[in-house]
Amino acid sequence: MFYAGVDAGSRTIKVVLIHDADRRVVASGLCAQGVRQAVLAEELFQSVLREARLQRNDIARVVATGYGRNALDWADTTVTEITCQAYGVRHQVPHVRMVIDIGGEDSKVIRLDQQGIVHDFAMNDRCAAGTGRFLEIVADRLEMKLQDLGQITRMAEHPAVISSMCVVFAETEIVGLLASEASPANIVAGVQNSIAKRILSMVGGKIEGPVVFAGGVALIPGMSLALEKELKCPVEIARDPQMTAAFGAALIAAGQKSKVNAGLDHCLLGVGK
Amino acid sequence: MDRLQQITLEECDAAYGQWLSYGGQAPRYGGRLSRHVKDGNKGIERLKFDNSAVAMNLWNFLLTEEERLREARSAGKKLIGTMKDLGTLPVMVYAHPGLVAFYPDGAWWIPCLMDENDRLLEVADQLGVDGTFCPVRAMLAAFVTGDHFPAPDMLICSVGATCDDFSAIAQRVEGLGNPILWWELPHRRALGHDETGIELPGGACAAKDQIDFVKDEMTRIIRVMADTVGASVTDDMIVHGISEANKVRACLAELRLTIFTADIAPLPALELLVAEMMAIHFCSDRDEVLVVLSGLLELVQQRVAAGVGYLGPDSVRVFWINPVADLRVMNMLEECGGRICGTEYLFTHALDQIPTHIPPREALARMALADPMAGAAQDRARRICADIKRFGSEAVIISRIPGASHCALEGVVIKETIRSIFDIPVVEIEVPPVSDTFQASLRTRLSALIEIAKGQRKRK
Amino acid sequence: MTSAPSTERSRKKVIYSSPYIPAEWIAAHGLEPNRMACLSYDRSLFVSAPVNVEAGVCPYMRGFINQASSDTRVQAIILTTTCDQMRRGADLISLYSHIPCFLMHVPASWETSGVNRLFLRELERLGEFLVSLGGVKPQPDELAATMRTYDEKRKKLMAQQGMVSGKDFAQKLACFAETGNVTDGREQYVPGEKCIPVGFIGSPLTGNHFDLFDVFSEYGASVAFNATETGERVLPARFDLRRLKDEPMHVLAESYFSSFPDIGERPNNRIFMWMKDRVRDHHVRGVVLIRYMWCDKWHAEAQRFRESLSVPLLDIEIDGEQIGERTRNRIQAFMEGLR
Repeated sequence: MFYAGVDAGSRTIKVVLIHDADRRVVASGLCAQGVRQAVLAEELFQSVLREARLQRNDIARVVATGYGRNALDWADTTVTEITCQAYGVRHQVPHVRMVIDIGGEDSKVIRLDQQGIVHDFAMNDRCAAGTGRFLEIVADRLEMKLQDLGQITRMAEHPAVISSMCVVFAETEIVGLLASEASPANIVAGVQNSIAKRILSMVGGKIEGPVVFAGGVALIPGMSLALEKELKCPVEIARDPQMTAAFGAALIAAGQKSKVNAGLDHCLLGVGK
Repeated sequence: MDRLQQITLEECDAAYGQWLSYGGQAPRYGGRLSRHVKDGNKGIERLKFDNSAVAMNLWNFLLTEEERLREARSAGKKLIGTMKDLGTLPVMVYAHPGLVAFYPDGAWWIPCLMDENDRLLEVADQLGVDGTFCPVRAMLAAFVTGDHFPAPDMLICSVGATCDDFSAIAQRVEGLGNPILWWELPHRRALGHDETGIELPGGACAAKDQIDFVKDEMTRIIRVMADTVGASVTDDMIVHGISEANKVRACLAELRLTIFTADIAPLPALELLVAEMMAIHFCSDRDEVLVVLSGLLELVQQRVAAGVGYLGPDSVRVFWINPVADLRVMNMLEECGGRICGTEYLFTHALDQIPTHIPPREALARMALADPMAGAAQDRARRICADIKRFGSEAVIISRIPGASHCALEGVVIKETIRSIFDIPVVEIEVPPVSDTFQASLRTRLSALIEIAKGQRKRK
Repeated sequence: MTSAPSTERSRKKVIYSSPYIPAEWIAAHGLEPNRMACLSYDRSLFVSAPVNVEAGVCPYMRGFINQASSDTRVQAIILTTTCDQMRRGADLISLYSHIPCFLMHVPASWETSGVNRLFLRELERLGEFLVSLGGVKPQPDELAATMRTYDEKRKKLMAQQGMVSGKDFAQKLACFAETGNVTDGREQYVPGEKCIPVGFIGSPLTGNHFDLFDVFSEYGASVAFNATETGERVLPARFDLRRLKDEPMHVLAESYFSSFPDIGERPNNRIFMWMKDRVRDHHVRGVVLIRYMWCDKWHAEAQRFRESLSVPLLDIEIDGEQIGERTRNRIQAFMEGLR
């Protein structure tokens, strides 16, 4: 028996298939999000099935999550990405107490209690300043690829201070910094620090570890260090951080179907659309 | 067990027609809800409603307020626009048979109800009061366009221990040529070492000199009102007014208690919000509001007795803090699996019984000082926590009002106080007047809260 | 009753933010008044509060409270209700800081004798708080003497207006507010012939924002008057010396409560009339409204200032950042328009 999790995020769609017996990932895939969200998700799902040499009826249950989850009417259930992310990360790091998820357009801090149950979360409000979008804007301005940003932060000697709350205004600040010949390394480091400060703002004063970093932005080198510096505690990057929510959704699918009441698999039975 | 379903506007109209054909008796303000769409309230097309004739009466009563105000004026009554105090002055105003009170503040719902076709927010923007202000900026625009309520014969506004955004907007109203009688509401301070406090309705305490001060302000208002509109309100009239207001408050208290303690939600969150709002100025008809609310109470009691309601017994019991400018969000709560089990919409002092064992002006002064915004956020938090315990709420939503000067920090205090006492999830959301572009984001937050609360149930 | 330590160095500061708090009242109790000049905006966590919040929080309020709470020489913090954000800030301090905090109700309405009495009563209550800190309640003649001293100092300070640059004067005002000292004037300042006089109005300036004067100067302006909440607008009127001996408290209350117009008073027509007079008297060619993001009271009246004044208005919103390019651009464009 196999289960599927589909994370229809604001920037990318992710699909993960797992095996019932050991919850092992048998196949996964990712594509850019677009206008035809449901179609793109379905196509990706089919593509991942083919990769795994499976048919649709091999999949016992599909759980959809993410911003666009309600558009996927072929999923059996929808669950928020907050819960799915917690599931996915907790499977990798059983004692995790805080998950920091920074995606393309939103960021979240999810707190889990000692039993691994989500008991609190915070999300960024309308501004994208604490999200991957900010890094995209910087990459664009510096004429660099997003994935190359992290490398240059190692060379930062004096990270710039980006003080604007709004990412659009912050972009203007970056233009000003470039005009005053601030180095790209210092600018990128400054942006990473600014994002980390936003996360700190959501975290508040009480931090309990282990803290795990997930979401697409976790793939950018230097970002976890910036978080560690602000949170003043170790931050572990999840394995395959962009896929953890989809993985969590698949775990939930498995839990719902089998009604196994062990570990995490107890809190979302019967959550329907 | 029967599960009720909320209905659309179209279904409302169909049900209404059927109800009439079975001999249903509509009040004079009754009728198909869709007629309000033709009047411009397009926003109600996107709402879902309680499936009952009583709820239709509630909505019709709400949406015909402007007509009532105009009729009152035609009948020679004076219209008093009471602003900000949310519940105290209308008790005094309605004590006089020749006066009608209403809150122009209520215009904040107009952009939602009219789906922005009224352009009030645009007009407010043009006046330099943009989206960074509280949605009550729609009130400023309403005074400019004159389209939503008749120009009051007198405006009275509380200041002092009030929020800056409302104060600023009200000042702009005056700046546009609408004279306002300002009255001071002092910050309800902690008692000094040698001070004896007087307990206020709702449980807070105030110093005697503060109560005396506000009592003098009430006297001043009465005097100026007499000079301005020629209506003298006597203490005997106020005593009677308090008695009538207390009937409305008692009915609402019973309604809330019945709903919050029922096993299954007998009334949706949206209708309860509308019903609670009726407390502050009786929707411009103090007698009829009691008829409407009594009908609602009877309905709710019947449903509870019959075990009939919305969602099921597994729906998450949610305590909701602060009112929303976009009413659709209240529908969203049920869509996400939550039910209302406790509310604090910034006017709890309008829901408590007004004391009748003391002189009437002092009674009003105590009510005014009991305003949750007049004191420290900790006082507000304490009352909320007492109600959470009383009603067994499993989760809390703090709805931040965008642009409101008090919300950001109050939210911190309230949230942390709740967390220090209860092990229940608390989420803050921000609801703009028209939340179309944020629907998905709001839905995610509400759904996540419900998921967490259910997860915690299993743990317990 | 314990009296306060007598040496300057050992005296702890009683910090306050509002111009409605009489420094002489604090000084007469033997304590050190300090209308703290907030240095800068600070995004760090609030006063060890368990959560942080940015959206909707005035950067000045945050900076002030953080700075006051982290200064080890602060004995107490006095806030007022003139700003709802500060009122809520008092809640946070009482919950998350050990520093005693007094919240004084300053009436928003001003037209009745009742609110004048209320202000006086609040001053008396403030006095009780100061005594609880170790201050000593002054006798009337002691209070009168302290008031005369401050009155003279303010007179000396105001005599320097126009003799020094706008920035220097603003800094002198800030120094006086913090320390009670009046620095001597430097060489007489003469604005350049081509300098265009402008006036400032708005929220309190922080240490960082004194740079605004330099920026305006760079673009050809001289700041003829500073009507911000840290400027000369909020100095109380000269005391009525004839009444000082017999009723110093009443004189103090009247001067502080009624003498300067404010944007938050209700009704607030006085400030508009006052501004028109200032524009005329100082021959300014433009007015600059400086306000913080999330400060509704100033923001709501920007358009009314624009419509009521006979000169152009530049509206600068500060979100706490340093004076950045965006602001500089606006200033430059404004000055180009005035030329």
